[in-house]
Amino acid sequence: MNLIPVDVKIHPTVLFSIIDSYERRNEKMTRVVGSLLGTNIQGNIEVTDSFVVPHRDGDEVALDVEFAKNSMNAFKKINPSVSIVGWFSTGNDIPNTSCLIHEYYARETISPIHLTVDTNLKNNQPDVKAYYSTELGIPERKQGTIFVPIPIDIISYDSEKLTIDLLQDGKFSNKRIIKPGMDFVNLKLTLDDIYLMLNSITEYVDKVLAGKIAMDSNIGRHLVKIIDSIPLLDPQTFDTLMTNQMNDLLMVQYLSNLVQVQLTLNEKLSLI
Amino acid sequence: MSQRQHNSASTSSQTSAPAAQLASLNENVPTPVSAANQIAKSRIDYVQVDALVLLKIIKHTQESGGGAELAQGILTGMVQIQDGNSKRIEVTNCFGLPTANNLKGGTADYNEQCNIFITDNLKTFRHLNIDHLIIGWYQSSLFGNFVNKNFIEDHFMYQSDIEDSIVIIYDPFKTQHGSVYFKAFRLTPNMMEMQNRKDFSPETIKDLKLNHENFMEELPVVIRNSHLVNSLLCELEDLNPTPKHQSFFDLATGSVLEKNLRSLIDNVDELTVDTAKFLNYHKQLQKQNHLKQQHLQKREAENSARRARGDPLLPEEDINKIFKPLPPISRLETLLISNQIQNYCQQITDFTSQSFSNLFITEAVQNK
Repeated sequence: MNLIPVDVKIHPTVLFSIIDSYERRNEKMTRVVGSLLGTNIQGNIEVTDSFVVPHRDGDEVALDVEFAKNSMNAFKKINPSVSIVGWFSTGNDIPNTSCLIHEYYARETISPIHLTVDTNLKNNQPDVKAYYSTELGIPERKQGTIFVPIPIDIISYDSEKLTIDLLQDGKFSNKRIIKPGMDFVNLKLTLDDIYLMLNSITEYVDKVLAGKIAMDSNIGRHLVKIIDSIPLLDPQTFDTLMTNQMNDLLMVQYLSNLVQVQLTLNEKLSLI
Repeated sequence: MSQRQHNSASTSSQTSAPAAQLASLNENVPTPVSAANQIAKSRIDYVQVDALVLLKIIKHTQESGGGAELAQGILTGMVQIQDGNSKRIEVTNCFGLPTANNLKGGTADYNEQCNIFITDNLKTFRHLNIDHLIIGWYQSSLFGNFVNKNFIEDHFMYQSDIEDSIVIIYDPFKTQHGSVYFKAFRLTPNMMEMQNRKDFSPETIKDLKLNHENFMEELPVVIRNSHLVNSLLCELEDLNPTPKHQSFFDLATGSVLEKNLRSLIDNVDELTVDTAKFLNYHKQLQKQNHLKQQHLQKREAENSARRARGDPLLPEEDINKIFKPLPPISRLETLLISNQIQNYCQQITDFTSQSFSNLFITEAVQNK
């Protein structure tokens, strides 16, 4: 009857937007809930968007359904292919009231998922968890609902990934400020990273050679693969390649400088 | 290239009208202090962007064909004054504008629909305590070819309605090739003045001291994250520990250079055509002036001859009636193309210097 979600993939944008909405919640609100949008193909769920739905918590829960519908329509206008796949809530547990909200979403879509983001940092980290619900109990008696956890994956577009990598650089700075677009700094950082990795590998190999650590043939194979991937060029060919590249680059650079000079000249002349 | 421009032309013209009514939109949704109007004219120091905004822009661009189609949207946030005189713009959220295809509203006008969409969105934002002051717009752009007439006109409308408007340009291609490319721009006061006068003659340009480098200013962009977002970043690193994507180590410079050069060539061609037009205009102007002079001299000579003979003088005719003044030529295109070329040159220079360092590194590694 219910389609059990097999695989949940979440785009980082969704998580960022949940965090943002939590930071902007109304005073005295303990949590934020909202809809998750995306695609659900045979239980393979991809969550790409989310929006907050205002609600009232407490003894009884009330969800602004009208608001949810309007927001949904707005999202459809930008990307018509998305539909509701579930809902999110902040916090790390699932209170009783969640069942009621879940029931609403079960009417909106088949087998909705429930995503929790622990913005209270109970385990000192914002845990992200996904659940689906299933009925539990003895037939013809009182039925209960349990939320079964599903493993999640974070997937992102290449550019999203690159941006997140960039953002990662800012988390240890005091001002929490990042300036994008400094190529050389990036280059240096990457080289440092590679240097570190090489060092740790060398250390490992040395230890194995000295007999301190047991040999692992898998790692050995990977190492051989890496060494194999370096093309062997004789110095002559390499030299020609390098010179050619350099010449190309130099010429292009020269050309572009020439164009720039021409531009300025053109402008000055036309104003006379 | 022409395809691209056509694309951008069609989409841009769609947004221009919503822009015209932006100010009224901001008023529709009451702002606590309609900041943009109250802050006196002062310099904008820098633009501060939330991670969420960057990701939303990227997502919107990806979903509209990875940058093949133009993705545009509205930026919301606030204007902060610091130390009395300088201010920074904080972009805290954004939303995409739908394309004409996705807005199926029967016969209603696209612009009208778009306006309704924007107002609805702003109302939603207000309801959710999100900053709902429009402070500009964003646009995706492949290879940085965004400087064109539509772009300038669109932005002029934003900036004349809302003083502190900025535009953020996101380049998916450059981002995938190494450096995340987000740039913020606005028009300089002189350029605004020229747009206001709607007069792009060479005299105005001379008057306002405009050149291809100073009609647009780039604002530095910084990204700032809350602590909670930073902790999320740590969590993301745990959940998805793939190594960083190091595409800027790519030694194959051919394709990028080729693309850049190709667009450069196209633009230089356009500039040549434009310059030819300008020269032509000059020639005509000179010719006309010459004719005018001749005519005046002739009249003068005849009049003095008549005076000598005692005949009545020929009436002074309106010289402008005989020689219609030539319509002043617009130099706006030239400015824009020049700026675009300048952009390409800068990109090429950046790229080559980056490639040089890569090459030198490779050489060093190889020699070992």
